[in-house]
Amino acid sequence: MTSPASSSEVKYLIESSEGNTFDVSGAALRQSNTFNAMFLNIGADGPIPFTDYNEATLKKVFEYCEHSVNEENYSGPKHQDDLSKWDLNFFNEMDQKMFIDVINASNFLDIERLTSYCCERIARMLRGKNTQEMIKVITLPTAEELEAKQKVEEKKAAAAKKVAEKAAETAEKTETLEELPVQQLVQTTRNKLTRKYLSFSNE
Amino acid sequence: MSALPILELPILVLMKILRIIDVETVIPISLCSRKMYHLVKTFRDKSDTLRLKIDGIDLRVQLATPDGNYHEVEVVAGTSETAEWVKIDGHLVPIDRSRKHHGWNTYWDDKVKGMQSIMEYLSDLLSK
Repeated sequence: MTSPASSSEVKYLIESSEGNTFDVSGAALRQSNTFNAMFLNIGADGPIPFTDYNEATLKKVFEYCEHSVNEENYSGPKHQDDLSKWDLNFFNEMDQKMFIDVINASNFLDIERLTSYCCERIARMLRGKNTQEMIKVITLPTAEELEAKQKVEEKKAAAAKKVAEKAAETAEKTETLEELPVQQLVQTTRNKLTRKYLSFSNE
Repeated sequence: MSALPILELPILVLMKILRIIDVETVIPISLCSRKMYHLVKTFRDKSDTLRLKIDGIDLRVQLATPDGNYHEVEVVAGTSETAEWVKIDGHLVPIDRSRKHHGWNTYWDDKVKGMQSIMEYLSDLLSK
């Protein structure tokens, strides 16, 4: 299952974050520079753990690798217009979350071709947009949102300051009580109780 | 695919994206936030030399690429109702895409001050 042989027949077991395992061909895996650096020469005894990524993401990434096994060696980013129909379908059928997961996994696995295509796709999404549209696309907080956030933070800081002041005040009081000699404390309490008793008797 | 939080992507991926974007995209994306400005300034593709042509008569700055394309940022007096507001060199100014030429129009009360601010902004953003 997992030997250092370079034959494309060799299958490797990959383990996802869910703990599930699935087969990937050696030829597909060799497109990952991370895999090459870690396992190619020494092999792996069991499933290779890529447990930061879920099964769907890893399968999608290796689906791309399997497809591009027979393509010529990668020579720099290809323009989006030059992508094949299969490549376009591959990207189009992904939702936003999956796309981000695929970029992250592809970056970790260091699959240069896939990472470059993903980056090119993002650059293309930004092309022709004005600043406000870009802020929406890259989900940066707007000036109003930043202002609201700052106000909330100021309120939180003020509340925290109040709590700290109150705590300091209480600590000061406790310290004064602790500093009183025991006899004096007993006398003070006795006086207080006598005063209370007298006020009750008067009533 | 509508929203894409690129600032949450790994820095290597973000660097690749910023290296790919063209001059036309560099200006509006740098205006998104201070953080984005510094990221664009640091990671944009600096292999091609951009030439900054300053036209003091028509009050515009031209960004010329080695392949002969150019993008203009023009300084216009007054304001525009349809333009979006961005911060350039500390000034909040309206900006919109020019219909006359390939580039942007910026609207200023003081055109001379506007020209100076645009020059400073672009020369700092595009310096190597």
